[in-house]
Amino acid sequence: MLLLIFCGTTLFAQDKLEIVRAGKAEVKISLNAYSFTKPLLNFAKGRANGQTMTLFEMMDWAAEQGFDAVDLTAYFFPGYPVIPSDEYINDLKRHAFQLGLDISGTGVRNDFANPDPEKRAADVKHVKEWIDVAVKLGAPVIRVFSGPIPAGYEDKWDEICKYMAASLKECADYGKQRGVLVGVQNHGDFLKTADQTIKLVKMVNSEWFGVIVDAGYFITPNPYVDIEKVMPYAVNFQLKESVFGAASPIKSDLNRIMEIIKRTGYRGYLPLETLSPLGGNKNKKQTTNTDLNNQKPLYDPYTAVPEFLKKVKEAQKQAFNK
Amino acid sequence: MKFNLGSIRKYSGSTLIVGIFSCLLSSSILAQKPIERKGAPYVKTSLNAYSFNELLTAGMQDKSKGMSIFQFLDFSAVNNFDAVDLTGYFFPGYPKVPSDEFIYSVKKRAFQLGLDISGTGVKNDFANPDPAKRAADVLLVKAWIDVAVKLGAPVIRVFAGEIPAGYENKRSEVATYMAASLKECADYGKLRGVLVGVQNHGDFLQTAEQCIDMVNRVHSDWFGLIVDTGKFLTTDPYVDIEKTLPYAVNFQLKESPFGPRSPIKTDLPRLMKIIRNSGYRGYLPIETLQIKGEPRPVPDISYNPYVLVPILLKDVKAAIKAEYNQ
Repeated sequence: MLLLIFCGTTLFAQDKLEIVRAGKAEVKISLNAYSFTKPLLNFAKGRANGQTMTLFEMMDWAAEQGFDAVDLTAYFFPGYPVIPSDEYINDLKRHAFQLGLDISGTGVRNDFANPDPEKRAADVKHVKEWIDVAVKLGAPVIRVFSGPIPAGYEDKWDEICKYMAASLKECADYGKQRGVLVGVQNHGDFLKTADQTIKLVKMVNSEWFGVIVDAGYFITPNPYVDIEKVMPYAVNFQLKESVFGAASPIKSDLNRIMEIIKRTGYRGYLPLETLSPLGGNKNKKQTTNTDLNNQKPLYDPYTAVPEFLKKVKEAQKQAFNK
Repeated sequence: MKFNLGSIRKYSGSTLIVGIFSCLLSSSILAQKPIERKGAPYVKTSLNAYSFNELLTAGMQDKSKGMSIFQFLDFSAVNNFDAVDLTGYFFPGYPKVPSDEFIYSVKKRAFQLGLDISGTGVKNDFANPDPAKRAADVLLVKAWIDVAVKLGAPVIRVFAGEIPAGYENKRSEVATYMAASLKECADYGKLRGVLVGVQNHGDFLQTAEQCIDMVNRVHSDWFGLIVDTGKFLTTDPYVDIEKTLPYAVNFQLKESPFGPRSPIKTDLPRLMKIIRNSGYRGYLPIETLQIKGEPRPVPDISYNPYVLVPILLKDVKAAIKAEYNQ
């Protein structure tokens, strides 16, 4: 009997983590800055060769393309991981506002799979610092990573999960204190499936913690199933051209994704992210039927993003009658 | 031409000096640059909490009555607004700043409902000739700029204030001290990353010219106008709306351009054409108003925002769709 009560309360606590949303499903479209990694980094790192782009220019471009918002990954703030000046953050925020763009989120680089507690503590500190940036920027949510499984830990998922959850809880507690949601992205690393992602969410057990649904990084035979499973915990998105990774020629079934969103009642942003087919996760390339020796067209976000946006908007229109 | 104060004094005495300086002072009101906006014109809808003024006020006093701010958010999501404009008055304890916990629970809930927060606003009076009163209101605005940061509201709406009795013919005197107070707010907004917008509220600010004059006086990149489509006290408010749009940092779209008592409805197709032609990109928070009190003997008209808001939203969305094809 006691056990039953205990189980019951535990279940209740877990259910509370599922976000109950009012109204019908609705999405707004955002652009993830990572799509422009190369020109943005060329500028942020002061590289002389190659095309450059500032975050301001990226926002101008997003406004011209008709995005509702922008997702401003931290790496592209000049000086990253050093915290930018208030003046710089405020100018970005005002620039976005005057362009009619909201800021749907930001994100950092971290590794909570690292077995070294000091390394994890340093990354917790970094996330906390960037939560402060998110507050100033008006970004409601920050994207963090889980991290890659360390060498020698291949069979120790649960052990990693435990210390990872502790680090994520520290971040979520600080997010709660500062009013910023923390979301972990399924990045084909420690988090490959919906079940793994949900297990971690329940272990962190915070109303200020959820999932950044990466539609292209569930390493499963049918990622659509995983996307649907994690939707109750979704605090933001990364919509990719392929659900099977950047190197896959199989395009995302956007109508199917929109139907999942409708069914699950998600209300929020769908930031798009296009990727160079040659970059990214080796693991992913092995799992997809792609011949990397094929001549790939050069990745050009200036054409890839508008093409993808057009398809997403068509699917949105069809699903939501917008 | 070089000024030689010594020689001027020799010829004209100190009166002229004062004259020259006030000349310099008035010419120092430089025109503020219009906001540069890129991309095609684009608007999103928002709901101003003030539409539920009475219910939200009742809900704050007694949780079993009226409406809570969370119910307001739910209503906004169910009706498919893009955002909400959360007037400060409806945070429990106003004008005291709410607890971080409360602010963050509102921010989180809005986010989970897919609602952005398009702005907030406070009650202040910078037309008041008493410097201590104005200073107190500057402090209030600053405190709520801090709230806006925590809430993630990009802009805060402030008022000019009513022309004080006896100051009817002293516009420029009032404008001078008002601009100084607004500048203090804008400077703090700059420091904290929050835009400050003054609303044409049919008070000290009744026309586009008066609004733009104030924008020029304050002269800050962190200051602009909250265009209230229902409170230009002019014969053709659409003209005033059009003139103020280059400085618009937010909106209040009302049912009538002639105030809540007017039976003449806002010509939404005309308004959308003006807004689109200006290149404005941003929110159009709508606000329905209860007609209550003065002027007597006009009776109070029954008011139900649960009915009126969806009607106005439907009309606004239809007008946006027709004009923007979005």
